[in-house]
Amino acid sequence: MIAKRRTNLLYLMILWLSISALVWPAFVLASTLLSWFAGQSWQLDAWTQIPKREILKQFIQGYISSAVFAAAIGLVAVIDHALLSRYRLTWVLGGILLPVAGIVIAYVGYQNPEIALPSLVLTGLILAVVHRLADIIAGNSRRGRLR
Amino acid sequence: MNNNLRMFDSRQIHRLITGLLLGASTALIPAVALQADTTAVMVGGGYDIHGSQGQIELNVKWVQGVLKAQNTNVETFFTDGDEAGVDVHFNLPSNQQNSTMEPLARIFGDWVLENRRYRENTVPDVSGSTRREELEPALRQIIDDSADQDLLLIYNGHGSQSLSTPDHVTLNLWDNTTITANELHGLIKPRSSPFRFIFTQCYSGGFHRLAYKNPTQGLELADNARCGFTAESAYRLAEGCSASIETDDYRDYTTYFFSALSGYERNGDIISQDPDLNKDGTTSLREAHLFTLEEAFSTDLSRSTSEDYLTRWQPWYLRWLPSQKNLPNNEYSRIFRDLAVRHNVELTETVVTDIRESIANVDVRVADVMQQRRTLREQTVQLQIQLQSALINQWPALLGPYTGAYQDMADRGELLEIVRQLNDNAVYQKLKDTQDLDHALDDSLLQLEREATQYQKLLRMRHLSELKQQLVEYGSEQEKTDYQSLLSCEESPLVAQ
Repeated sequence: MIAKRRTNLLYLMILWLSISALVWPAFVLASTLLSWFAGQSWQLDAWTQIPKREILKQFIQGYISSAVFAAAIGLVAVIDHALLSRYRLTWVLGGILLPVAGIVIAYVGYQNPEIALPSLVLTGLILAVVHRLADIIAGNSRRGRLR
Repeated sequence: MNNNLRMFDSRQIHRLITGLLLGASTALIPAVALQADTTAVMVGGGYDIHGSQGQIELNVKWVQGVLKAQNTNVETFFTDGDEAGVDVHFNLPSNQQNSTMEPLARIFGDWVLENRRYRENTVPDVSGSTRREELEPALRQIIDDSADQDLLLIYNGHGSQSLSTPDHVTLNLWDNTTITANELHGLIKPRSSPFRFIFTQCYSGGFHRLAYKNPTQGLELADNARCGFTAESAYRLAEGCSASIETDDYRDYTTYFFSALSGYERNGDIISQDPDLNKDGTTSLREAHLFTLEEAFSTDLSRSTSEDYLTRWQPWYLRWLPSQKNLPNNEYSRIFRDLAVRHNVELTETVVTDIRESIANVDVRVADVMQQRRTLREQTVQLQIQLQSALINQWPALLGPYTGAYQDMADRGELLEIVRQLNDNAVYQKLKDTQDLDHALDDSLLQLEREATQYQKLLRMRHLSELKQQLVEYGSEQEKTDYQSLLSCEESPLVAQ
């Protein structure tokens, strides 16, 4: 029982760290994908007009600056897991809190939510996929956790 | 009568009226600029004879003229100063390129060098050379002497890129000496009066760091007003280092910027559009810059310090987001719309993707021209080798152009005989055609590069328009104040009164 709880805690810790670490790259990926379809963004022009090291510098700077928010999103993933992974019915919805968190951030953090909403929702969806993959890899769906 | 009227279309009539108004206002400038309170320093020329193109010299002379017309004292530093010896090279105008040695130059030497000439600079009132060891103390002195005046520093020459931070870009000075943006920042540190700069060299954007307290990083502005205008960013080459002295070839930042300030183009024509946007009767430096953004058909993506500030300011949570479809209403969106019309870009929902498609099309054409040029250059080398071996078999002295045998052959007039024979030679004619085509491809490439830049400029105008709006919405009060202070610094006329 204690071993199972420890394993679960370890899984939650890994989930928190991995989701937190992936928040910024997922946000950049989502924004870049949407920019590519929309045709314009800083990174599309920067790719041809400034050295790649400058883009990397901006990426790292964003990574550091967003760390607090990323940690909070990681926590959302943990809460999501705790709330939704217990029952088969709710397990289907696992990860849903991540795009929801994206919507909340867009409306709370931005004066014009519409500029950030698509990117943040897509970021949430990417993270939700990662979250679900982690769940499957950890074997949570096989080990009889689901009821 | 009707026929005569038809000779002028509406654009010409508009130009004529604008010209008359501008001409009249320019004529009044000396009268009102008597109390000019600006010290102007002009630094120009190359780093050695091979990097000292005639166009730079003509730019310096022209800008000197514009400043003097506004009754400003200009301190000019140019190449080696007044020292004897050649310090400028230029290409002969196309109608004077009729050297008898052309066939030999095409086969043995550098055909471009054949039409290049060297001379001493003819810049008037030169105060000294631009060698670092002479320029630095002179600048220090000027900075001290002009402590209570506005200081305007204009540089027209070459620059080098920095592989570390943008503040390490350089001004390339005579005798291959340099001064970095960081070092110049140190020089102007003691100033409390406004400092403005107009830099047109490659990688000049790094010099916007002069406006900040810390030259290396950060957004905190220096205590005194500092701002400037540069031809390019810290990462791109600028146009305008041609050895051509034909005015049609002038497309550099200086040409457009000072045209706006003087009211005249380089060839003496009156400019086609009134740059005085707020109609206060004076063209400010910023208005001249906006005029340049709109009018310049060159490879430059010019920028001002306030624009540099906007791009640096953009926070991480906004920077990577896709752009909005609807543009806010400001000067950059106006330029975007005007430029779009000028370059036949339809302002539809898909305008941005259309522009990107146009850039991609130009890239394909560039790749095609590059491929053609590679093929032509391979052919040129083959033909040169073929002709060289045939000629050397007949005239072995051609092997050593700096020898007595060569001198004897030249004295006997055999060089002219060789040239005569070559002019009737089919292989030589083929070489000539190949080289001429190669030369024409260079022009096509430049033209394509200019075309691509116009599309990139459109995207940049959209981006700046959005950034300006974002600063209003997301910037702190301090950031907004800083941006406004940069704008006020840029809104100054050429000569403060």
